[in-house]
Amino acid sequence: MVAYGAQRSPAWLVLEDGRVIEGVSFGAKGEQIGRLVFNTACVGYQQMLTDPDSLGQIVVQAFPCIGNYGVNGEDFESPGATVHGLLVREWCEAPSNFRMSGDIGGFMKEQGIVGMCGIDTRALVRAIRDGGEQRCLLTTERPADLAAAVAKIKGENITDGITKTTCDKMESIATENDGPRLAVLDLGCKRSFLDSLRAAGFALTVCPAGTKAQALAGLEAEGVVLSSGPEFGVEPGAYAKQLEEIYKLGLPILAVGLGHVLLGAALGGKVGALTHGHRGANIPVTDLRSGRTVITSQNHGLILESVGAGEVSHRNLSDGSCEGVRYPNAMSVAFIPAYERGHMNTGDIFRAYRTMVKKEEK
Amino acid sequence: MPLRDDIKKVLVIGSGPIVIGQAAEFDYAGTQACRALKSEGLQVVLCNSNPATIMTDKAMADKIYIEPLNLEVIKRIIEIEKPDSVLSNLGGQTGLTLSMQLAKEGFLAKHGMKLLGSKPETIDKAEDRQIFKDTMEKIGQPCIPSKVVNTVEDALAFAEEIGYPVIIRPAFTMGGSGGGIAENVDELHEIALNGLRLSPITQVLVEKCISGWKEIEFEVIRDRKGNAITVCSMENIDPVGVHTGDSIVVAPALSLSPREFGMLRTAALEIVEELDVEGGCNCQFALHPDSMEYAVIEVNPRVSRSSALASKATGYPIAKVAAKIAIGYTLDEIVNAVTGTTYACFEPAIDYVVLKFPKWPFDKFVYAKRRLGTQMKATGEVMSIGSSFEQAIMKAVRSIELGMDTLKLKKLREKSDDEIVQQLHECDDERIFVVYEALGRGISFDTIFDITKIDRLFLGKLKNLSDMEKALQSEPLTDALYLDAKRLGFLDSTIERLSSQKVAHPRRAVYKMVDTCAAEFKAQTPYFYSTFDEQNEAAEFIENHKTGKKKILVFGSGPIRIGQGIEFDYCSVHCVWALKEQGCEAVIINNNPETVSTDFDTADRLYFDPLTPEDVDAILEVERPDGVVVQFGGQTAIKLAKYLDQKGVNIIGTGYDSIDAAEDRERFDELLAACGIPRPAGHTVFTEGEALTAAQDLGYPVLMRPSYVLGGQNMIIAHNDKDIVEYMAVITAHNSLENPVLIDKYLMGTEVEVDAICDGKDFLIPGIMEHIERAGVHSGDSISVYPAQNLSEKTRQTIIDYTGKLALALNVRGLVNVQYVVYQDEVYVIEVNPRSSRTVPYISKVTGVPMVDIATRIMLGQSLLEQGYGKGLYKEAEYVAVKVPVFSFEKLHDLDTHLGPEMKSTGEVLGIAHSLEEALYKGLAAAGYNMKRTGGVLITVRDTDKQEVIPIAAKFDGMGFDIYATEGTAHELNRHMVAASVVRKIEEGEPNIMTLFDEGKIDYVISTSAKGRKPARHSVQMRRKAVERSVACFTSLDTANAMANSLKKRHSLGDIELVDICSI
Repeated sequence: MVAYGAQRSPAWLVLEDGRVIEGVSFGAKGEQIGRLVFNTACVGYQQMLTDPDSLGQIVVQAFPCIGNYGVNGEDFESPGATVHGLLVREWCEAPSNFRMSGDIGGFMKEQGIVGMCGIDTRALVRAIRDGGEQRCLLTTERPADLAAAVAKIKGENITDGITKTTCDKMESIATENDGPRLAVLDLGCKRSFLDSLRAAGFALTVCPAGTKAQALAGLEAEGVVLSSGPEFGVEPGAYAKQLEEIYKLGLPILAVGLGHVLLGAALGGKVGALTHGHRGANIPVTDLRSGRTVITSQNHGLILESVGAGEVSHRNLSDGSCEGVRYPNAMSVAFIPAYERGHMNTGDIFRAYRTMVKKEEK
Repeated sequence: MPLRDDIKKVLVIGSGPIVIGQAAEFDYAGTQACRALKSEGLQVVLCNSNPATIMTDKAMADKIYIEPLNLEVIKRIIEIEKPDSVLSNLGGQTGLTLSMQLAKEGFLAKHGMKLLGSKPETIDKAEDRQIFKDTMEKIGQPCIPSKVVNTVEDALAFAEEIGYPVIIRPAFTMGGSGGGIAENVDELHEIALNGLRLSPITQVLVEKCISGWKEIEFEVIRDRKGNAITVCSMENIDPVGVHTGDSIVVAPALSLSPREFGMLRTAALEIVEELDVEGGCNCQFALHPDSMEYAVIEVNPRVSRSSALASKATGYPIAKVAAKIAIGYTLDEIVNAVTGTTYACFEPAIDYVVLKFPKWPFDKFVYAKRRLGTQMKATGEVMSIGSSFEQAIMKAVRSIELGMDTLKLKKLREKSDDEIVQQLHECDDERIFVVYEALGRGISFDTIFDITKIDRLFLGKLKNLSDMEKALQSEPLTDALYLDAKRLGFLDSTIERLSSQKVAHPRRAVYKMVDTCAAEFKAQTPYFYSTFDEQNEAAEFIENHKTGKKKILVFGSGPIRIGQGIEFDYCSVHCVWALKEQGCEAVIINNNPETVSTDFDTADRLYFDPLTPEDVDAILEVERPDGVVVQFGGQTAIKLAKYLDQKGVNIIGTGYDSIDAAEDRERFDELLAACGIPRPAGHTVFTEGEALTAAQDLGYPVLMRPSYVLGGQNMIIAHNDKDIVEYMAVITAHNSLENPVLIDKYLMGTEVEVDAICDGKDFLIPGIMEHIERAGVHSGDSISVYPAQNLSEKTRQTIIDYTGKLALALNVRGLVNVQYVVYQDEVYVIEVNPRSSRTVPYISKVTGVPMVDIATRIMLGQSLLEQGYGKGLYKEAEYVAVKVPVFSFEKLHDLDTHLGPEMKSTGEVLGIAHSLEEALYKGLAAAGYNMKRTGGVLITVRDTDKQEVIPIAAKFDGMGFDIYATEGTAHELNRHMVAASVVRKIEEGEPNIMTLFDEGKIDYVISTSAKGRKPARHSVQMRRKAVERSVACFTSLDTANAMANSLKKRHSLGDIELVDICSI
């Protein structure tokens, strides 16, 4: 970001509480309203910008250099951008990586993501940490009237994010070695999670979020997966009946991310919200059974404060919150596991689920 | 799980003297470990031969043995102290190798001792090249095509197979010792031969050279439950081919996308899992720049230089956590002291960029090869923290003390574009500046990348800096341009210099906190770095932690270099401790990641920033201290004195005026005259002509040096006019002549050194030190003996008298170091330094006089007498202490090992006993001499030494050594009845001196030259050969004599007295 003086154009962030922060615009021009959150990961911005989980968020990146490796055609978590805005200290205008096809500024322009740089991101992170994830307005047009801007924020039209990010129709994906078939309820599923399931040896039928238990039953699947998805505009109770019925089908269930919260709500648990979400790649989760702690990637603000019929299986080591639940025929985790052959990260979740599925087979 | 209750008394083995490749980082790690162990209520027995360390301080351990780090000695200590366990992985390679030997010999089992830290199987899997390969293969981790060999023939054969170039990596050596890149058969032959010899198990790995791939490191930590986290990722700006210790490193890795990052991170975790590491581990990978192909380069399952860097970069205390893991805690049980609410089992998140920049000794050693490769050459490093890569590298450049404030190296300006491109091929300490120059000339990224393989991402960022320099030079200095320049790391003085415009509205830096979690959790770490924003977390912190105490700022000593090493950090840290004890708030500023001073636990606040006036200004503004301390940070802190004084900052302790009086030749001469103290005659000159006149006036030989130096930098003895001309050229190449050159008559007498503490009224001398080597060898390179052995009572009294007069005349409040030469029964002053010196740590320990503590209290207003140590000369200790310097000559190719007025040693060891001979023996043994009593001695000395060497040769002869000598020397020896065989000089054809070396016939060399220095000279070549063959080479007759005396006494490590200094 060496452009200075007249070459830059400004952008503004208006917070719900009336504070205004001015910075430099990059990416697309325009105006967006969203929920202000911070993320502490130092890599992974392209995934984050296209992750359905990020829908409705205006994200502050704690790491000061964003965009170093550009963007490429492979790291999309969904076909298009989901974030409503990106705030960074500096974006990289001369990135370098063998896979890259462009830089982040160009990408955001294409995707219509409004960005702001040249700000003290750490100060903003502290504000969010202490004050919570407010809603805000990010704009490249000087807000003439602060009160009006705040009113706009408060009047934001929030619709259920799941309906915006789920697929339109069912789609079957085979696996190479004829593994068990799972029905995946697409609550805003990210591509990499589907990749993990396939790598773990499952064949998949991806179903729209509204698919009822009866329809799922007809698929002759050996298990059901409740994917992650956006928390934006989602009323956990709204999915309780549908998920309860799916649970009653008796098929082993794996729920991750948002799926974990919705399943919990459906099975008698109580949903709560963190002051500021777990959003980063360094979050320690302890498996209570084995006693081992692994580092996970997360992007959620909702948690299960109590788990009804289930038993807490994983806890966040830093704040003690529930990160996983075991039910008689289901397992859920708040983080997004990634399949790997080794045991050092979260691959074991898939192996545990596979065992559950196999048991049912018998 | 609570810690194991079967561990009550732990033996910690330290890393010994500072050498290139194994340095201050182990004092930092060792200190953290000792503290962690003691905080758990354990008893700590420590063994470390290096007296300059903080870890060998009484506060750190219950029993401290400053003894040779040798298997026999350790075994004896174990038998005396009966510890129940030994901690292996915090003493560098030295500690590790010794622990493993004890384990493998069954000694530990026999004594019912547990091995804590790294297990032998883990170490073998990492260090034994063959087992390492097999292990990696087993877990599917790719390695570079390589083969483990034990003979040169096998090495050559394999190289034929995989093709050149190849890299040689010897097993179980340190800092890449004995290794190197071979481009052809001849080079491979030489390197392999040397590597096999240096490896304790005669094993080297021959590996395909993949220089040019990205070099990525991960610092991992794992516990016995299998919980593992990566603390930090690091990317070497210099790709594979340059040792990580010699590379510019950025944390976190910046050029990796999540795919590569995740791949390597997982690989690191899987490796430590397979190795069953319990503690810290460093994993190094090579990553192909254009694909996902990678290979594991090496794994070090112990605390290291990288882990010190990672700890300081993230705020996560790796050594402390590793020590706790060693005694049984798991990561999810160890609380993260930074946040207070989270645990050690989480990966730090960073919201800034960290840069590490090495410090090389090439500004001193102008004839040494500067080429960087697989053998480390840096003596130290700096770290910098910034909000961007550009800001971080600019801070690093001014922290490294090369006199640069941007990456523009002046001497490159004259070169043509073609010459610059050519020079890009030279991989040496200046390459990054050549790259910067090339970018400024508009040479394409592709060209630069093709030659250097430095990633285009970094080239882009360096170009941003270069573009900003140009913008400042050509555009009007608007507020916007100014702010951008500040954010890129430009100082106001630089901006004004480049733009020739005054800065209208100077902007002050603010401070951000290093908190391990990117602000996700509230933390109260008092650890800050500067940047340009509005929010100032240091100001907030100070506001929230008002204590009402007196606040004192202490300046650290910057990067470790020859002449200014860990001893100064010892003093800074002790000063901080003393201040806190006296009820003050102590704040420290320093930029060295390897030291204890930059552990945020040490002072009440730590600022990790460059030590330039502007950087210091901003800190002074936010802290508003009641006083500052400049006398414990070596020359780095002293250089700030003038500036601080002009600003009216309260320097507590000896003031700027006194410092100037000691350094300014004219003023100093006046002072001496007023005190009635003689000095060797001398002149101040500015040109070659003046120098020649002065030298002829004084009469040769003369001593030449630039003023305001440390470690005798560029100090030389000139014997004739030709020397003067040659040396003036060298000196003026490195110093702008605002500071003149001093030329003094060289008096060949006994050197005596004194450290004194003064409060302006009284003075105390803890002890008088005598050097074994006569004047002409820098004090840092001399063997120093306390108490002085050969001084007459009259001389002693004169020295005490002169010291007192000087201290009072200079108005010293605190410490002062005086160096004398005793010549023909007269005492002359050579130099006075009104600050702490290199000898303070060891003298404090041996005499029991806590010098820095006393000095600090004086600085706070207490009188000397109030403190109860008396005045004048302190009573002599019951022990004799011999400090022996340690050199890293095998790392610095083409450097002449001949000792002289310019300091060359990198570290020191101590020998302490009731008698001089025993102390000397221990010191020499600790320094690494193998103390052989039989074999061959090669003697070749200059004419002026030919008579004096005779009795020394006679001593060796008397012990049964075979004496070899070159013609002139042999002739004299034989004439005086010392049997010597004549051997041909190098230029006289074979067989000659070199043949004797190759045949392994030489165990000691006594070599003195009138000239030397230049690599082409045969005398220099011969001394280099001695280094290569690890043969002890004495370049001063005094040292040779001391060795002969010591050998005659027939001491052995089995019967020498072992001393616990805690009992002194």
